[in-house]
Amino acid sequence: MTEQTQYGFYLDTTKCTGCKACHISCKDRQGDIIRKTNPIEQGVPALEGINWRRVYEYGGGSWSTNADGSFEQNIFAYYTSIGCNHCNEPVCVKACPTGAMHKRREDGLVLVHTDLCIGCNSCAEACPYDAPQLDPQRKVMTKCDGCYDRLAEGKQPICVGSCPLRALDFDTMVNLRAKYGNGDGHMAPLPPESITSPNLIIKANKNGGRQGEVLNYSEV
Amino acid sequence: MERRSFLKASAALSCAASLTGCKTGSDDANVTPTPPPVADESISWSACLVNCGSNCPVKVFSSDGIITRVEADNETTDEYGVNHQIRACARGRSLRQRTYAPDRLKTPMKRVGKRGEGKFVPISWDEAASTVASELQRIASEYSNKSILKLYGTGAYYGFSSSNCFNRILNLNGGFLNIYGNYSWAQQNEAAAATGFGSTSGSILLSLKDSDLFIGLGYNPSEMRQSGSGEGYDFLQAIKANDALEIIMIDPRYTDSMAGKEDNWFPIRPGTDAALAEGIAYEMISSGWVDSNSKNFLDKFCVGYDKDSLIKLKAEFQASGDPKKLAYVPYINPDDNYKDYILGEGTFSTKGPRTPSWAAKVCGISETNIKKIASKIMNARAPFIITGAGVNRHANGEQAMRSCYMLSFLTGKVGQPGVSNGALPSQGSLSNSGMSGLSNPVKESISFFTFPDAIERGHEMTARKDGIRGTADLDTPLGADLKAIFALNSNALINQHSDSNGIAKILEDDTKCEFIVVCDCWMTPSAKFADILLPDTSWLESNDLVNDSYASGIMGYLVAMKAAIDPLWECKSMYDMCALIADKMGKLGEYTEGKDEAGWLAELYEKTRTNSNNANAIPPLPSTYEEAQKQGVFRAFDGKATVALESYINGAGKVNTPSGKIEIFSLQMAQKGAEWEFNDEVKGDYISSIPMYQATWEGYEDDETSEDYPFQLMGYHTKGRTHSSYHNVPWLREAVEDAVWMNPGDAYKKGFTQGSKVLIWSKRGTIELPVRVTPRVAPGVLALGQGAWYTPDPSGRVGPSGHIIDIGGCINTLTRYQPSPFAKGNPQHTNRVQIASA
Repeated sequence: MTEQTQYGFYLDTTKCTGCKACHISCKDRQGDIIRKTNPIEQGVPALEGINWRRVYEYGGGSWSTNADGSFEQNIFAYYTSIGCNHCNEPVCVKACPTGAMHKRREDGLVLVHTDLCIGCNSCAEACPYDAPQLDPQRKVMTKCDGCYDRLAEGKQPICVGSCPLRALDFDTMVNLRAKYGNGDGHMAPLPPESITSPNLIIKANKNGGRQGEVLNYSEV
Repeated sequence: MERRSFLKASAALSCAASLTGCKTGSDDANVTPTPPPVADESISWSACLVNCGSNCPVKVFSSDGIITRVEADNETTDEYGVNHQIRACARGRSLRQRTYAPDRLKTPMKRVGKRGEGKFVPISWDEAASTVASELQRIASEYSNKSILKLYGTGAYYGFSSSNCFNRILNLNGGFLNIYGNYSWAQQNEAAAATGFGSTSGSILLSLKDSDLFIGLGYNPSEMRQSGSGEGYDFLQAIKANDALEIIMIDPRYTDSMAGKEDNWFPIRPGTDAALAEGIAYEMISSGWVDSNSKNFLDKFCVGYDKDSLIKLKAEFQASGDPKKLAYVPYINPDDNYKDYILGEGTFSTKGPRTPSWAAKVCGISETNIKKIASKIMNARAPFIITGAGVNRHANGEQAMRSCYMLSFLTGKVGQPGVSNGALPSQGSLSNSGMSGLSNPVKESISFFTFPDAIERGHEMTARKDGIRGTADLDTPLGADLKAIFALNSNALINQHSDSNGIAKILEDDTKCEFIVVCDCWMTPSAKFADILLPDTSWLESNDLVNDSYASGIMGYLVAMKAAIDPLWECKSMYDMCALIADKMGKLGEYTEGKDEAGWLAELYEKTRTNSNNANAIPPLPSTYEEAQKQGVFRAFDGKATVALESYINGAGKVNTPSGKIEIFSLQMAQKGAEWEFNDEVKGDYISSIPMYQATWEGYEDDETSEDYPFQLMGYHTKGRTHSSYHNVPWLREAVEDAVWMNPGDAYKKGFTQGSKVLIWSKRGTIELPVRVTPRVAPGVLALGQGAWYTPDPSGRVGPSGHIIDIGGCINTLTRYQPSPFAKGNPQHTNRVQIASA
């Protein structure tokens, strides 16, 4: 890796069905990193509310009813799976008062140095993608770490290999751009790219750009 | 998380002002978190064996006898149609949490409280086996072998240590009452068979490459079949490979099979698909299109389209001299033909024509849109239509499926490339040899759905009244009440059956059904009704040999499963526990046939290895089972674009109906509709010889219930469970919320906000759960993911229906136990309910 190397994700929202395999497979890996338990006695921790990868259901449109009771509508929905975009301008890093949140030079991954983290939640408040996820039990910040341990073994992040629809990819941004181009730009529910310069290429759903709302706040 | 705006530009920009520690990323040091120490990891292959249609392999990592994580099949270069990976969905990925769930059954137990209370004490395996053996023998001799039922159950699709191990002991005890049908496809299996094909015999999805129009009625592979080599993935690949394909989806919900993949969604009211089909058929027939384009096809390959076809059929049967055919002659009434029915002519003139204007009022799709769909079907070069199983799971499911199948046949193009027959698509499979259940001396069978009747009045149930099969004639009774039930990885005892409160009441009385054995891994709602609880090993603790299952996509595969860890607690495999029971019965030798687990697996593997259907497996099957376990997964993809009924239409064959033709007029339905006994008080309880929209009890048009219960409630398959399997996994409960879907207009009128708690009730029960206000469901319709665990409020709180409120939110607390007219199947999407703030 050179200092110019920057990893990033690709997401094809024409393929994503919101199945949550990425969300769950991440949690399966993450659980072993942030909790040490004896599962035979204690079960496997729920880690409720700590979701390193979240799948947003975005939809809208309107309904009306004809005189005979039949329907007219223009409803749409699509899904956006988001972990951390390991941004070029990571506002989480800027917001961190201790230097715990940092961007790794060798590959651009944004990581938490747990020993330095005071659990103040500033990074989470700053991030427009909700990537930092506070572990309330240990009172430290956690987040998508790009599966750096897997990368070191030449493997893909766990979420990418889990995707049943092959909607996710991960690589250096140079390689992703060579494979997918620059994508279609970010659309709702994602914020404008100008805020953090995220390393995420999006292939837009047909309905990307339509006005709607996040329909599944309870799941993310 | 809390509801917050994504667009937090202001928060980001204010960072410098509000915090002193702001830094730029590039100044930071390279501080790398310490990777967790990795102990010696061992890897083995297992598989997820629930009833979603696929048995996805999972790669299990363990260390010091503890499972540390599971991964997907990422073993190949993942080229679609060549070697694509069989990636497990969210459920398979949660297996570690499920395996170590706190509610695992850890020891054999016996009931100590009232049945259903859930009070048990641990017992030894010796006592458990003795009790089961002696009760089996007692009930068979005191009552009858027909008094013993193995309940429908699909929670663990093992090959070797399957519930067939129980069949062996039940058969060594003289047999047990058989069942036919299933909760998924009861009505459609009968509807398709009566028409002349299988309900999962449609053209393979690969043949969509030759189509220009796809129509899915209640077809939702992206939620139903989530495997990364499943039907959902095949569907995505097929539509991505054909840019010219127009996609129309018809469903009460805007499903994940749409999400931008569709050209048009037409929301429809539950249970009214047949009305839509008839409105379309009216356009096709009344416009003269059928006469000009498909009449020859209908005359040649089908019977019952018009009066002439039935007059001709009747004459042929009369002249045949074949007693089987002659028996049908009295039931062939040429006036009962499809064309006259649709046009409202002849004997149907009093009913009026089934115009788009009529259909729109019923189904909710406008007259303009019905005409538009009809026009697209008529103009399509190769229309590919699939009717999903949601249409069949209704009080009128048999006729609804037949009505929808008609759309394909009316085009006259069935059998051509890119065209299907309306059935669910054919899929691929490799073949595993499984444990034999031995043969059952009992010949009688009941519908899987009618076990509550068999408990209460099995002695008087007949073919004429109850669809009993295997009796001497229509009126010979079954002659035995059910006295023992074996629920084996089955939650259909309470949770997945209709009217959970009703069946609970029947089961609570242990003088009726005297003995209930539940074998499972977890304390399910059904397990709470056991007299004896037998703790099964989970998949990750098992050695077994499985195939891809029954609707697993075009890729076929085998998984040679190897136990990642020893059996947890005192759990035993079904093979081992049944050996203990067989020993107590004095039948151990007949049970084991002299083989242990390794011996059986070697034998089953050898039969599998030499099965010609597995000849193309990649890699080829090695010589021993142990070597196969090291490899784990074997796959094969047959890329042939198989077309439904191709050999019948383009060959000289026959289909498997009494006439040998596609029966629009079903001779079997005509006969049974005339001979069988129906309940006049149950609206819609009749069988029609031609496909016909039936208005039923608690359907959209049921004005007896529409005032008190103004909403239609339908179930759907949630992504967070497979039926009721995986309900006890917190990760999945968080990722896929259990909430009832409600249209924003309806929610506004009720004053509900997103996530507010509601009570929903029918005549049969009350549930409590959050509401999901979403535009993705039609007005007047509530949609609820099925399979949540039935949990009557321990505080005894009673809901508006007069029943204890089910705080688990199980849809079957609301559904009605009313067997459908022909299949005697489950009408679990036909419900009328009321809803209010909790």
